[in-house]
Amino acid sequence: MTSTDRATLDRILRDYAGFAHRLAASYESDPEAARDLTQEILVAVWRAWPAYRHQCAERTYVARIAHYRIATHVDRAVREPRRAPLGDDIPSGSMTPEEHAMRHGQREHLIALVRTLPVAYREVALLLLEDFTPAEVAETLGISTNAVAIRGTRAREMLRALLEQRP
Amino acid sequence: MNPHATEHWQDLARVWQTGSAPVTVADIEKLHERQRHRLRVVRAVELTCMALGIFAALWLVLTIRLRWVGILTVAFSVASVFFVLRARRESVPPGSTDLLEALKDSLAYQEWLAEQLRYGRVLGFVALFAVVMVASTQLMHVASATRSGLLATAIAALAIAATVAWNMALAWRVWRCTARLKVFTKTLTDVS
Repeated sequence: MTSTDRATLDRILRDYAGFAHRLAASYESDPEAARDLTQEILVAVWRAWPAYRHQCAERTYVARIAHYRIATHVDRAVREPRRAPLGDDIPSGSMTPEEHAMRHGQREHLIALVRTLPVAYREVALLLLEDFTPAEVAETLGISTNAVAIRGTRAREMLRALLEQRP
Repeated sequence: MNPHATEHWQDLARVWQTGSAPVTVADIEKLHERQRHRLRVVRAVELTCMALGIFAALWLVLTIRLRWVGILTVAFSVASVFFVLRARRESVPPGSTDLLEALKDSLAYQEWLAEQLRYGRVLGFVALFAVVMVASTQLMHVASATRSGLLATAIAALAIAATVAWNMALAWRVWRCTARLKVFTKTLTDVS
């Protein structure tokens, strides 16, 4: 591996490993399977990196590859979602262990809820939760911004209902 | 989770974005190397099988009296090599376009592969039929058949049968992949 390759991989991991893991965990409830899928997504992004020509925003490019990877390699993605506990994450350096435990519990719960959304809504909700704008979501998924707005609103309502059902 | 937080999407996004992935550079490098190794093994096996097929076909031409069967087997082997090389050259969609477009490209690629495999299967069954006919003719006149002729026919039949079996396994994989892609595309586009 050249030093350029290594630097690229370091940057991809630094900037997108968390994103890839959250996407994977939204489809795979088994922690090991989610970890494997995260690695597959990151390898796919690394391989596709030289082809990036600023045709869209960098994170949109990464999101497209990640979603495509999920679509082609997770045959369980479209089946009924399972609800199993997720694995431990590495704590973020900016939080105390108590804060991490609290946030981790909340995040685990949120990921489990997102996993129960139908795929069409889940795809939109995932990207909106990652702070993508509706235009970026539309650009990533290939649907209209109108459809993003409708699905986004519906996904928010579904999530809110689920959160209120399960305090 | 605090029910009040549900009212604020920003709060949810903040919670969502906490933590990082349990993945290291070494993990990614290991997976990348494993994938490359697997691809190398598949290519080596394919090339070995094709070389054996061509060798058996040429042997058949030189050994049995029915030259056209030998020539047919050579044609089958060469066509198989051509199909494999053509399929390798056709690149898999990278997924750098939007998701729906990438899924559409991927479906088109799977359909193209299925078509190539169909042609290969037809050719395979024709060649297998011819070789089996020759084998049965030789067995009917076993007194006049040479031992090397029988052996060559048996090897050619085995090589062709193995290629047809491999073709069918690939076709099954392509069919499953196509079905999966169609379901995912439908799920993504049909919103009730």
